[in-house]
Amino acid sequence: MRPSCEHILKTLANSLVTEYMGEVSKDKAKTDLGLMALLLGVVSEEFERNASRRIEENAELREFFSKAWPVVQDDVLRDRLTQASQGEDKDYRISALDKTNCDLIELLIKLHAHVETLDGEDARRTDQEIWQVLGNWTKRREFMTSELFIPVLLMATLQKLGQ
Amino acid sequence: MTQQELVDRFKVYVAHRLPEAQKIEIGQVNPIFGGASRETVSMELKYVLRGNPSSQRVILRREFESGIVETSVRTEYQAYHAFGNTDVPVPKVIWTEEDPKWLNTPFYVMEEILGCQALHVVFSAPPYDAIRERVGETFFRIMGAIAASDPAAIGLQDKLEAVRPEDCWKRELDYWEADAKRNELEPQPVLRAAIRWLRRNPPPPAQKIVVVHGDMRAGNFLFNESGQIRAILDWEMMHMGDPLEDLAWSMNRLWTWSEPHLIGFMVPRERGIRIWEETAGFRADREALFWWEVFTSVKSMAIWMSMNRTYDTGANTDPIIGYGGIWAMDLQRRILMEQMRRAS
Repeated sequence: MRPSCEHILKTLANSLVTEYMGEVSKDKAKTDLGLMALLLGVVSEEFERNASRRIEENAELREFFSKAWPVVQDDVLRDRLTQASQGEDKDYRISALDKTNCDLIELLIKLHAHVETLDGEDARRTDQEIWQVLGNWTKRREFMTSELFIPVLLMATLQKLGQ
Repeated sequence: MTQQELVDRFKVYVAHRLPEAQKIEIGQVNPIFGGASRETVSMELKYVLRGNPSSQRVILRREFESGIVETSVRTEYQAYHAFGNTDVPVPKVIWTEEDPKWLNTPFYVMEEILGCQALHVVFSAPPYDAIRERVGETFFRIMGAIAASDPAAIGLQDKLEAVRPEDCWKRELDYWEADAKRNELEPQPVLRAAIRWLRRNPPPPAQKIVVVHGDMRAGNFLFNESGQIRAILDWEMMHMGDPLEDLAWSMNRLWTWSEPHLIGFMVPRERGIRIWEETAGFRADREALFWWEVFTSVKSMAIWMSMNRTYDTGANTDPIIGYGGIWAMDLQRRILMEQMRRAS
């Protein structure tokens, strides 16, 4: 689709702030418009990466499971990890990718809880590797707009107090 | 309920509370937004009582019909009554009402403290940066005073659920873990790992059981331009517990993301802790404090997840709930990840 969805959302957010916020007099309505613009910004950011972050993460998790299963001492969990590591994303609709992603994350949680109960160097190393995966998991869910919120709030507050 | 309906019904309530009052008028109604658990409205209340005209600004706080945190307004006004005659500044409560026939949900009315504001973000810019240290030092002293207060002497001992020093951490963690589970929209692997870590590494028993504010942080108090704190607000999560819980909660980096070295954009961490220790009379063991800081992230995430669910189900689609939940969840997740890197 052209113009792109990302462009439309960003343009709408920009219009809300630069054109419409100044036109409303009630504080609540003004704040709501600002927050709606931020929500559009978040959706725009997520829209662009929606499929890629899930495909990338699903692949990372499958590869990790294929390396991690030998340390596992629970037969049922080991089978589930082996089976999951052989999966593949074939349906690229977000809902399908998301369902698979949630299932794989739940399996990672089970693996992590299991590894924490094990002794030995291999278990400790796997635990550290899981934390690396979780670091990536956190990073993939960051929004650039989040860091702008407090400065935006500060500017709006100072402007209001100055009036 | 629309704002007009709220005002009309509140007027009927005022007439019920002040049967001799005449010419009751409510004007200059301003909703105060930003809160996730209460509807808060500022208004001017006028009436004539036995020939004497009266006018005062009041705040009406009403439970939302779909709140984010399951709390009762009773807890809040119990706090205001209890601390009313102490060094901990709180607003004066005028009426409390739990009968839903008046405004559908329980509410209370308190005096409005004028000439103050609550948004702590202003401390990072002139002219407010000039008063931030003074406000910060006062804030930690007040938090210390809350921890040092005698729950029996201020009438809270019998009103709040008792807990043993060795059970404080578990009771809180059990509650917030269950809350997080109830509201989880997608799996949270860092949160769940953090909860397991907290259970494997419990803190020492509380040095003493004290009143815990439960949401003691920058943004939840009123200060004026000369740097005085006039009121500590938002007591709806007050409970008995470990004094370190409030201290850790106040240091959540979420509220001071761009200046993490300053607690609430006010004072450096170690200075704040030292002032708290001096006033509260407790030492803040740094390892135990770290446990409570990880717990702070867990409890916060549970609250943000509840916000996200509330928006997701359509129970409350206010943009502050929609954006607030996403924003806070993102930053809190990063904070928790950093804490767990240190822990693991």
